[in-house]
Amino acid sequence: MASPQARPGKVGDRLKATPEQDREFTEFVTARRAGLVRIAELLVSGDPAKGEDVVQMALTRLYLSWPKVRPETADAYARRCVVNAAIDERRRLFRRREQSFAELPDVAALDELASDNDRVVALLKTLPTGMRAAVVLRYIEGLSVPETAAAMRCSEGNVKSQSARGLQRLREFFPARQPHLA
Amino acid sequence: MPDIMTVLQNLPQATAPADQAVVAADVARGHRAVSRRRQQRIGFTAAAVAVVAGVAVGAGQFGGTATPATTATGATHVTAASLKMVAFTGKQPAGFEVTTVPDGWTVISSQPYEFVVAPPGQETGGGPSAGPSTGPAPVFYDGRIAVYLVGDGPGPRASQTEKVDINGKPGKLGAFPKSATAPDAHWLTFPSDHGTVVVQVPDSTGLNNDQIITFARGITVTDAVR
Repeated sequence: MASPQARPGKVGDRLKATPEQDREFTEFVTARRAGLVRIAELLVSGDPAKGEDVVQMALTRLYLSWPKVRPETADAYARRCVVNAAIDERRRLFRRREQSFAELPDVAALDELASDNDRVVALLKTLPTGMRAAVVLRYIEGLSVPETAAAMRCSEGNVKSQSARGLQRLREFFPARQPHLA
Repeated sequence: MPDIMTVLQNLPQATAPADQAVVAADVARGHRAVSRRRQQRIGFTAAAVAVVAGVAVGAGQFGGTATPATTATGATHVTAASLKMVAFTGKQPAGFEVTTVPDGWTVISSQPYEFVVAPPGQETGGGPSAGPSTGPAPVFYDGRIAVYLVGDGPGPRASQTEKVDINGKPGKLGAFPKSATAPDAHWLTFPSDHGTVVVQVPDSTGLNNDQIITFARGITVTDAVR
C-alpha cells in the first residue's frame, strides 16, 4: 500500500503545488480512496452517490492541506476530512451541485432486507450523525478510541459514550428486525 | 441470531485501489480549489490595497474624508454590463415558464421540479467537474443558472439577505457561504403555490443582483410541476 513520503513545507505551500506533491497525493488517494468511500457511505446512510460527493469534498480539502499533512497522520487527517464533509453534506440541504432525478431506485423496507449487513446499514440511518460516526469508526473500521476521537475532533470520553449508546440503540432494534421463520 | 458487533465487524471491506481516472479527477478538483483560493487571496489583497489607497487619497485631498474606500469594498459581486437580459423564445421547461434569460442562454435541462439555463457553448450537461458516472448523465450547475423547488424550511444559509419583490411576492436574495470546494454563488428564493422556488446563480455566470431579480421575475411555476 502506498504511503506518502516526507513532505518538507509549510502552511500555504499548496499555492505552489509541485509535481512531487501531486504524485504523493495520487499515490495516497489511489490506495485509500475505496476505504474512504466506504466510510463516507456509512456516514451518509448508505447512499453511494452522497458518499462519493462527500469523498470528493474531503479529498479537495485534503489536497489543499496536503503540504502540511505529516505522512504518519495522513490517514487520520483524511478520515477527519471525510467525517467533517459528511456532517457538512447533511447540513447543506439547499446548495445543489448537479441535477437530481425523480425516478428513485426501489429500496426495500427494513423488514424485507435480505441480509444482516443490509439491515444493520439501514439501522445506522436511525442514529444521529455523531453517534453514527462513532459507531462506524470504532466498530466497523476498527479504530481505537484515540484514533476515533482524532477523526471526530472530540474527546475520547465523548467517543466512548457515543459509540456505546449507538451500539445499544442498534442492539435494541436489530433482534426485533429479524425475519420470522415459519 | 448474530450479535450486532459480529455483523458490524463483518461488513465487507473495501480494499481495491481506486481507478486512475477517478484519482486524476480528484487531483484536478484540487487544482481548481487551489486556483479559487489563490484568486480569493488576490482579490482580498487588491481590495485591501484599494481601501488603503482610497483612505490615503481621501486624507490627502479632503483632509481625512475617505469616501473612495466605500466603493472599493462594496464591489463584492461581479458587474455584468456585457450581459443583456432578453425575452426567452426557446422551448419552455417542464413545470415552469420562463420569460427572461441572459442573451444567448438556453434551457439545457428540464425536469418537472427543476431546470437549468446555460450560456452559449455549454449546451451539454456535463461541466468541467464531471467525472465518471454510472447513472443517468447528471447536469452540473457550475457556471449555469439552476432553478428548483424546495419544501418549507429555513432557506439557504447566508450571512445577510436582501428583501426583494418578485411579482408581488416576498423574495430573498443572498449568497451561499464561502467554500473552498465550491464556486461562489448567489441565491434568490420566493414562494409559490407549489413550494419555495430557489434560483441558484454562480458568480461565474456574470449576472449581477438586478439581473438575477429580473430573471426570477420571469419565472412562473405551472401546475405541471412536481
